[in-house]
Amino acid sequence: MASLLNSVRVGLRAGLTTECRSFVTAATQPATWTSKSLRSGVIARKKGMTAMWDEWGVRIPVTVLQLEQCQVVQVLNEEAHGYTALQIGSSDRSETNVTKPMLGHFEKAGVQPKRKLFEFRVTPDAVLPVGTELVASHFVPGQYVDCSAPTMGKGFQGAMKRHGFGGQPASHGTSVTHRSLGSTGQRKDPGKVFKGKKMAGRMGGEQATVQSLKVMKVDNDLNLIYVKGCVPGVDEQFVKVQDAVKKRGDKIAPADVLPLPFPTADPKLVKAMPRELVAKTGGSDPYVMQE
Amino acid sequence: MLSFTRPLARMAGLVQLRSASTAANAAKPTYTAPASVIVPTQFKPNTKGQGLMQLISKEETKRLGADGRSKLFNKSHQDCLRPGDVVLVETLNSMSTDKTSTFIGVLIAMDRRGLHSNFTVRNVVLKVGVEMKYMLYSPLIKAVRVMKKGEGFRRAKLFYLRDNPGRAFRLEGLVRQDKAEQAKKAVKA
Repeated sequence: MASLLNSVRVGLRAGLTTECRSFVTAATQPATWTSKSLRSGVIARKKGMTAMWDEWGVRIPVTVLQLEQCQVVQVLNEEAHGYTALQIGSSDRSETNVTKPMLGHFEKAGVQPKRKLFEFRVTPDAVLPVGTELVASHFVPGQYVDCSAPTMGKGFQGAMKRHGFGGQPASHGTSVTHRSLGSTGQRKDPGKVFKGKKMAGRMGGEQATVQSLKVMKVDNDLNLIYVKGCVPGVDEQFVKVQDAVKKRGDKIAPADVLPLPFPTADPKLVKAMPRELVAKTGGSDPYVMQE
Repeated sequence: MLSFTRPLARMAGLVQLRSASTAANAAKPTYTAPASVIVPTQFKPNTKGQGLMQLISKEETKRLGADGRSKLFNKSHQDCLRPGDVVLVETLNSMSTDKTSTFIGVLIAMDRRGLHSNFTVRNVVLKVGVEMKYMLYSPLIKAVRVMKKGEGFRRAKLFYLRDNPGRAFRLEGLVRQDKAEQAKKAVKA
């Protein structure tokens, strides 16, 4: 029985390693994008918001995200971990402020200790070697991204703000209960308040993802990405930026900037680029009446 | 800093190899911006003595204020706007045409916000009070001309003119005067 299980285990591992061997040692193979490919995201810092005017003269609010020493710290693969992912680290920190276990982890990767580590699931063909730096040109102007970050903390809030409850009337006899949540259940049956009943409590500070934000501008010298719209969280927050999950294939970016840099931007090409690249909004002039 | 240990696939359609005599030059890629990407006027970033957001705002102000519109909000400049001036604002109807719209009125508010600086102009048109708020650095603003210097206004914000206009909105003839001046300039040029 044990030998049977063992042989099954060996068989599985052998099967997996044959499949994975070509991906894990990707150093020898050039990477080509397929429709099933999923490339890595980056960790950026939210620096603030500003505005820019597009080619039609329309004013667009943008959030500035900066990539700070964003490097691959660990590669997680199918055979050792059960899935393929890249552990990305952002923002160097002093070795004196890092615990010994983490120091060992970063020494193994050969990178400076980082403030923030996140994993990004990737397909095996998008695996990058440890130590690779991810730069702003990983994203191209005009593409769509998803940004995830913890939201701003709002403290202890009532049900009206926290869950959008309607409250009670302001007058007509309502006494001292204008903003309360009202009824919390039925009567003897069930005779209890259900778990998860929406009530007052701490609001904010949870992870939120804003989807399909357009990258309006890329700055190669300062490693900045300008995304159209708002990003959750406070300034200086670490934000996970990934390719938009709801824009598949050709919809992720305008046709002339596709394919996206895969698995990440070529440093030689980034050097040849000008410092700032701005995306066009495209479409027709909104100030001209269409017939 | 950029440490790649293996060759990566080049982005199709964006790399042009310069025709070169030596093999070394032939390997250097050049970048041509595709149609959906604009390459704006480039500046050299200098974060010394200022934060990132201040730097970005200053660079964008320099880029959009290349025609000298920043002097309208610069108190040290003789052409600075003052609340109470009668101002004519010429705006492009859209970026695809050269046709313009003109609005003349009294400058009742100026908000200094760096790149987001804006001003409000008020006039009474066909017995209806109209206020227009303009973003100073908008590319749709073609020109801002002072038709008459304001005198005797002792406030930064002239919102009281909404209730007590007095003779402030007697601006007949100024649009005609401006048209004549512009025609003369065109003839000279």
